[in-house]
Amino acid sequence: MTDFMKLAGSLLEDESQLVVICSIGGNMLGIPAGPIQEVLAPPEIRPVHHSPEYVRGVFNLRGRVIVIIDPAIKLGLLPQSLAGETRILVVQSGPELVGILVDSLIGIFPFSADQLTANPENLPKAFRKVVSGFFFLDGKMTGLLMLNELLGSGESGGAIS
Amino acid sequence: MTMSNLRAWFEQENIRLATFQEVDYDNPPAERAVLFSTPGGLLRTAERWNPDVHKVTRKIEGPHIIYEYLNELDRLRLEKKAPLLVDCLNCDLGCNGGTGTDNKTCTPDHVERLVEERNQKMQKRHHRWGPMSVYRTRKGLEKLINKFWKPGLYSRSYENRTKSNTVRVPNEAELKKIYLQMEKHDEKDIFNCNSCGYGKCEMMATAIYNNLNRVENCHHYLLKKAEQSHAEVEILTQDSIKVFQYQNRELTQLAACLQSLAEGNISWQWDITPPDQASKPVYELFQTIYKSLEEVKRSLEGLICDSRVLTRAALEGNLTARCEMTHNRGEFAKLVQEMNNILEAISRPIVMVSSNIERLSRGEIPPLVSEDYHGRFNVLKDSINCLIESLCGVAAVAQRVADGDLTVEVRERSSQDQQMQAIALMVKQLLQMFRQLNDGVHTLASSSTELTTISELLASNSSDSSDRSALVASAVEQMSSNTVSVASSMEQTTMNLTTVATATEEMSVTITDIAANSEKARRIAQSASQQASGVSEIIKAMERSAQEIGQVTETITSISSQTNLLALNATIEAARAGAAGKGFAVVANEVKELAQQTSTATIDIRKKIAGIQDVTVNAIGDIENIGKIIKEVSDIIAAIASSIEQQASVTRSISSSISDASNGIRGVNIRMAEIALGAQEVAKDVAKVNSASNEVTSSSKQVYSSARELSKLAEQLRSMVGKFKI
Repeated sequence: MTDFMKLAGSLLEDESQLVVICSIGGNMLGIPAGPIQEVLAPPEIRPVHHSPEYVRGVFNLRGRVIVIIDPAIKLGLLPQSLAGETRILVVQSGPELVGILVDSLIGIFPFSADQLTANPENLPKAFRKVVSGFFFLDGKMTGLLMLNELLGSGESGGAIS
Repeated sequence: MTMSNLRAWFEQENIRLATFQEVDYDNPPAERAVLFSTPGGLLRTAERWNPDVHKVTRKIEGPHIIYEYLNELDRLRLEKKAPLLVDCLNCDLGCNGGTGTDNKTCTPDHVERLVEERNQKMQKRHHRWGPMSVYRTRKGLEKLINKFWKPGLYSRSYENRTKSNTVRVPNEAELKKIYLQMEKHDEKDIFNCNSCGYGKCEMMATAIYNNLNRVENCHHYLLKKAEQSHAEVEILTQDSIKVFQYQNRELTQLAACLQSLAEGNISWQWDITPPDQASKPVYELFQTIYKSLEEVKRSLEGLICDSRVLTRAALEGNLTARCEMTHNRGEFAKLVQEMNNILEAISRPIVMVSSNIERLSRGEIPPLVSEDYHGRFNVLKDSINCLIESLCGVAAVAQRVADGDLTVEVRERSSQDQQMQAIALMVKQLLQMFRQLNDGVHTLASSSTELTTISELLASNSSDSSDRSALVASAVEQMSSNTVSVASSMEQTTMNLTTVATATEEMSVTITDIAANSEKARRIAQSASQQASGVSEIIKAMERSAQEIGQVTETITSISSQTNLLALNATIEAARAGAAGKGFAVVANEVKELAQQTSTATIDIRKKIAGIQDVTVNAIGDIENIGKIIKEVSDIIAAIASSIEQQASVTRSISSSISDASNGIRGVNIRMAEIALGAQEVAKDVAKVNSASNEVTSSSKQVYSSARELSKLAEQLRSMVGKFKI
């Protein structure tokens, strides 16, 4: 309850500073809450043929066709498997909505930019491209994902559109 | 032999070395230093070890310059201007242009290319692959060098010893003498070929004069010696051909002589050809052979002469003529001896026969001939003996008949022996007369003897019969007493059997009781088994209920998870609504907390149900085990019941067997009684037999005494006739 009060307090101060913390391929990563429209349990996903590997497929969200991408592949990790804890974060990317597949959701937490430390030098290239920096959450190192980089044209081939 | 000779011979025999298969040298293969034969090869090999070594190396080839260079080297070394390594070869092309190679027709580039190919091949072979290959290759080389290297391995030192020899220069006459030793007889033989290495024949001669060298090291000397030997061999060969021809000619004549001897002709002719100088030893040999042959001829002629003399003597009836053996030797002497022996063998029996016949004709009976003769001579001897014997036999027969002996045997010498036949007829008729008389007396005597024997036999038989019947009587007595003892034993057996029958009956009753008890036990076990399966059913129902509860908790978990998600979405929505959504955010968080609590509680329930399920499963297992045990008990009881049943039937069969045995024994008892009766009757009969045989014995004794008297009478008559010998 006290955590929640803190959260409520921070919400009062600056609402843009919230991040949703999730687990992707065993890594703790944060995504800014601003662009996140909603969180879903995994729906029925239809594969899209001839799409890049990181595109897991599409699903129907109240009549809209949403593309689901797997950030684990963009980070050079193994594809995530669909299990009980799996969630889809629906985010606004320009005019479109995009689904981001995550292994599990840890929670929603306040965050301020001065907590962020720069990337270590020996970070793999795939991580350095999409992680802007690291911060500590309950003593655990958490990376902050840059959504634009994650959804934009990446290594694995072209823009999502 | 030189390399150029060898090459010329190859050319002549059309041998092309290039067509042969390529092989390595016989000695151990080169490891690294395959460039040793190439000018500059040493430097290149060293460069592989230390690439900078060429900066401190001098490469220099050829006899024209290297000796001058090497002379200066020590001075340069002291001035510290000398290189560290000098790579020099005595020949311009190194060993690749040596006399043993086939490179006269090749350019140096062609040769060097082949050497380089081999170099690359060997380097590849010794190169180590994998990590740190350069280091390991170098280590391998180091190891190899250390294996063979010893300090001072290639150190060489030389000492100038010219001062220790005082060379005396020969004068003109001495020089000429040495030249003669070297087979140099002419001015043109002194041609300075340099094979000895001195460059001039005069120098070589001086060296020989000072005992510093030998003539055998002069090429010209060796050549001359070889020519001389060749000429000697030539002469020897021609001589031996001549000897051969001479030998062949004479041997042909000798063969003809021997052929004539083999055909029995001893008048041969062999004129030995006079020899030349080489064939002289062979000629002497042939002369010896010729003399021996002549001796053979003489011996044969002597033998022929001897045999003619003997033949003539035999024709003239002179049996005492013999040949002289001393003229001949060895086998020839034996031949003469054999001829004498033949004469001896024929003359001896003839002399013996003539002397015996002479004595017989005078009416004298000579003694029998005892010497041994063979074949026809033995027949002659036997006939003479037979004649003597028959004359002796006639005299003896007459003498014995005169003495009253008519059993004399008169043997006829043959079916034509009329003299003996007449004597035999006379003796035979006399004998017949006396024999008829004797027969009558003999028949009487033998009849009385027979009668005596029969009466003796009868007496002995009847006595024997009496003894046997007494024996039978005692046996029957024994039998009777045994029968009584058997009967008493039977009585005992019958009593024992009765006791056994009673015991068996009691046992049968007990077994029936046990059967009833085991049946009761089986029923109880069955009932227990049924109850156990009832409990099992109840517990299975419990397990099903627990599983259903589990399904309900699944549903609760799912609902709480959805609630959680809803709360999260609400939080996000509230955050986006800004200040207006603050209150909503608080509510959403509350909902989230509740959902989490629900989830925790559900997990707790699930654990507990899992615990119940575990216990239930165990209980089911235990009950099943109980059921199995009861089943086993039931099976065991059934087994007991069946074995008791079997025992009962066995007991019954024992009982009936005992009854049968009882009956059998009774039968035996009856038989025994019958036997006893029979035995008594036998005893009576035997007594009768005994008395009858006693009577027979007494009558036979009377017959015996009468027969004895008759026998005596016959004996008296026989002695009267026996005075004549028949």
